Amino acid sequence: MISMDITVWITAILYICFLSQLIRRNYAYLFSEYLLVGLGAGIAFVMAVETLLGTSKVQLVVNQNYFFLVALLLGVGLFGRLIKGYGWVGRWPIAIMVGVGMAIATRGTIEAEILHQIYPTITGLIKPGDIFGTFNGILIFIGMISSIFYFLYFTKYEGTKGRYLGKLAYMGRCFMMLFFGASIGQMYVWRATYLIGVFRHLLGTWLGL
Amino acid sequence: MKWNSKYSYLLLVAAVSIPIIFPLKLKFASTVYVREFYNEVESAPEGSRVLINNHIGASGWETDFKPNMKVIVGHLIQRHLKIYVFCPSSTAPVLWDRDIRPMLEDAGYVYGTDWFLTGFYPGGETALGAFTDDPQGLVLSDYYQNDVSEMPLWKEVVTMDDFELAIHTVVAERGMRQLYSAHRMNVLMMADSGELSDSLTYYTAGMLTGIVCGIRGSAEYEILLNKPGEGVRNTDALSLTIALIPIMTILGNIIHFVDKFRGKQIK
Repeated sequence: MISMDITVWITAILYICFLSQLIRRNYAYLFSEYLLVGLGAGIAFVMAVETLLGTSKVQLVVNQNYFFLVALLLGVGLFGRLIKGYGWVGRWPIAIMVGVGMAIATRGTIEAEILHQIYPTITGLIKPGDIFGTFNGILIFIGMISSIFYFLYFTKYEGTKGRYLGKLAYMGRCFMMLFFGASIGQMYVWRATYLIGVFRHLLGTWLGL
Repeated sequence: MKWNSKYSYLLLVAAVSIPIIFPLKLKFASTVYVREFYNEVESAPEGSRVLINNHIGASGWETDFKPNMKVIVGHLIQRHLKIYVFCPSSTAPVLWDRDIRPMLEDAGYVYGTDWFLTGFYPGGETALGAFTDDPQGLVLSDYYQNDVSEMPLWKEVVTMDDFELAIHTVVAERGMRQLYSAHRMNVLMMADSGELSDSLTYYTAGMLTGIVCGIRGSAEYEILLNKPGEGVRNTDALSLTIALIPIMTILGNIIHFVDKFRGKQIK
């Protein structure tokens, strides 16, 4: 049975507008695209303002933390980029945001993405009583070493030694190609998931099939 | 031979639509990382505090995350765990309020006593970093504009050590840097379908305890909980759509070689 819910109808019509792009680019598609971007920006703005008002009220009125005004002023300074001649005002908050963002991201990077990746690769090589685990560990180890060799540029792959090193680097390239292939496959699954959501809405929620 | 891309679209539409209209009920096995996610929640003591870093946007919500979130929150409710939701995404609190809050209320969960929802905190990883360093200093009001200083549930959380589990969503790297490396939290990952290989890197290294990823993950979790739902229903469509890849690859190669033998230029 077809849904009588107006929001379901609006969603279904917008989905059809989006899908119409598969035939050719048209105004219905453009309308839905612009609507999505506009709504996204609108929701983000409203949500940010609501959180800001709630936090400001507590910080300034209840806690009387006037240092918070500095953060507010820096936030307002971002809009300086929109006024001719005051673009420089916007550079300060952006510089602070980039600096803080980099610092916060960096604090865990060395451990999470370097040390803690290398350590289990080396220690997890042999898993007693687990043949597949051991095979997996050795495969990951070979993949890591050979992939690193692919990025070593200090040696020329010449002569007998060079030929073997070259083959190792080629093996690393193969491992990376496998990873990229898996990533592309996953990207396909990801997009397919979105499509399933669209058709489940159109066929199930909207048309009631 | 000319292959119009619209034929590919038609095949894709058929692969998605047929299992939705006529469910195939294909069998599937559960993966070890989903079982570990389940076991971790199952073994958490009653009344434990669970942090959900809800970084989910609107685009991936309906098919990818909503079934995941519903089945996992259902399990948290079943285990009587306290739920704290932090939202560094603008749409995350809105979607939670629309789709998950009714579920919590139906289960008798009381806001402020059993679960807690923050508003939107811009800044992505910076916001998450600030939250993990000083949750009481950052979150002063909730999504519903309440002053949280007198809220009993919120007063229980001073540092990240007060959480027994952390469920991280979307980009795995951020969770690993801010939750695992900085605070050594027990992190579980709720990933979208495109993030499995990235998340597995951290799972293999022992930094993630479990992963629930996309439609397949939610379907497996629903089977483990013995409550088949949206995830299981969507798996048929996903399986058939994935089966289309080798079919299209073979078809593309046939067209390529037919053209080659005929000596024509490939179009």
